[in-house]
Amino acid sequence: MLPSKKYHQGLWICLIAIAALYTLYYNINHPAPGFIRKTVQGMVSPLESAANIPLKGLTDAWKHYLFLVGLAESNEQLKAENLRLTGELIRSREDERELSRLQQLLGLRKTVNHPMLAARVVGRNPSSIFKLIIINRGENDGLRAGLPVLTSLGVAGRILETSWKSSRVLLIIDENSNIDAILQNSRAHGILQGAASAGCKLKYVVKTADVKVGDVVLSSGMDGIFPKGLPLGVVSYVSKSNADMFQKINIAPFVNSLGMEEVLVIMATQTEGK
Amino acid sequence: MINILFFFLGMIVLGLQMVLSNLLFDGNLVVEISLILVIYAGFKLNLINGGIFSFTLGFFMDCLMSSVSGLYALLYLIIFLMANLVSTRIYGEKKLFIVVFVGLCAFTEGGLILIFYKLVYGLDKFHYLGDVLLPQAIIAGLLAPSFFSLFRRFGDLTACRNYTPA
Repeated sequence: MLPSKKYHQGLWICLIAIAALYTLYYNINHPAPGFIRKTVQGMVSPLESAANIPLKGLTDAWKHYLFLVGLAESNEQLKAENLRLTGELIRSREDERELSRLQQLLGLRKTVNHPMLAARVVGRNPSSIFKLIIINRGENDGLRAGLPVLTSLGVAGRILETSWKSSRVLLIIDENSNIDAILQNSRAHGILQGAASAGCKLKYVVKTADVKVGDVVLSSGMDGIFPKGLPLGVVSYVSKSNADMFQKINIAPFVNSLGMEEVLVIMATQTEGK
Repeated sequence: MINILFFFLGMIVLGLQMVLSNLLFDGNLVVEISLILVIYAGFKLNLINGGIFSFTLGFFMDCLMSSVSGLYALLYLIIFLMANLVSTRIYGEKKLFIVVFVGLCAFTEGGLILIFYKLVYGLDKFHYLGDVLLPQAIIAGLLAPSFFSLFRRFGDLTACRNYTPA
């Protein structure tokens, strides 16, 4: 039984192989597509066309997806590049502004005939009772209490106390700050006192003095600390009351205590300078 | 008698093969799922059913993909016979064996096609061996275990058990 089955199967395989070989032989000698081939292709062609529609869609979607993957990578790279360039731009702008400020400070340095030391503001506490800033220079740099501190715009304050490597500067807007001042136009004297958030007040200016809003206030140099002629602020309000002996004058300081980043410390007081 | 479902599977496989080849490789490489099915048939079907099935599937391949009718029909028959012969001697369920065997069959098939074209038409296309046939064989080999599993499930689902023990 078994040999018969094997024989049977072998016969079938031989027949199939002969069919395959004959098909191949026939098609080599007759390259034109035969009837069966045409029939199969004719049957498959519509199916192929039908399959090609979703296939094309699928292929397009796949290619589009691949394109999007590439686009996403490119986008990520560009974003990273953009971040880097933005950082560089910010740094560059910051450097430019710092350079401008330092140039202004340098200009001021030339106008004051005293040795000066540049310092950077490293801390501030404008909301406390004392209106102070902290600079990165101290006793090791030769600083001591009382030395005037300037910015390119004018007087910032004076050193209140020093440590080895930093100092606290009492700003002119602090209520404990008093500077002998002079009005640029009328040459009237007064004392510039800090008024915290209101800026400063110019006290003890006689009623006869002609003071107008917009007049510039300078240091008089008579307090023994600040050299003469340093800009302090500008008159923002003037009032003459019959009941008072002196005028009531509000001053807007030139120096913005919140905006300071670099300052110059005059290494000698007015008295020492002389 | 060959189970009609196996032919149905063959048609699906041919369609899938065309879709995948165009989709993944832009038609430059062919994912030879039909070859994997022929080898699977070599392991699962008896000589007569498998022989007719591989011949028919090969003939359809010829009609759709080859320029010469009968070439794939003959090759698929040869590969089916090889698989059938091997299945009687080696336990063919190990994945590594399937990968290697399908890879070898795919490479052999490609090589025979190149030899055929050289002998019959004098066309020297042997540079395809490394550029096309080797990657194609590797892809077919690597995909084979998954497709074997898929065909097995298909067979289970349709209760298509035309298996003749060796």
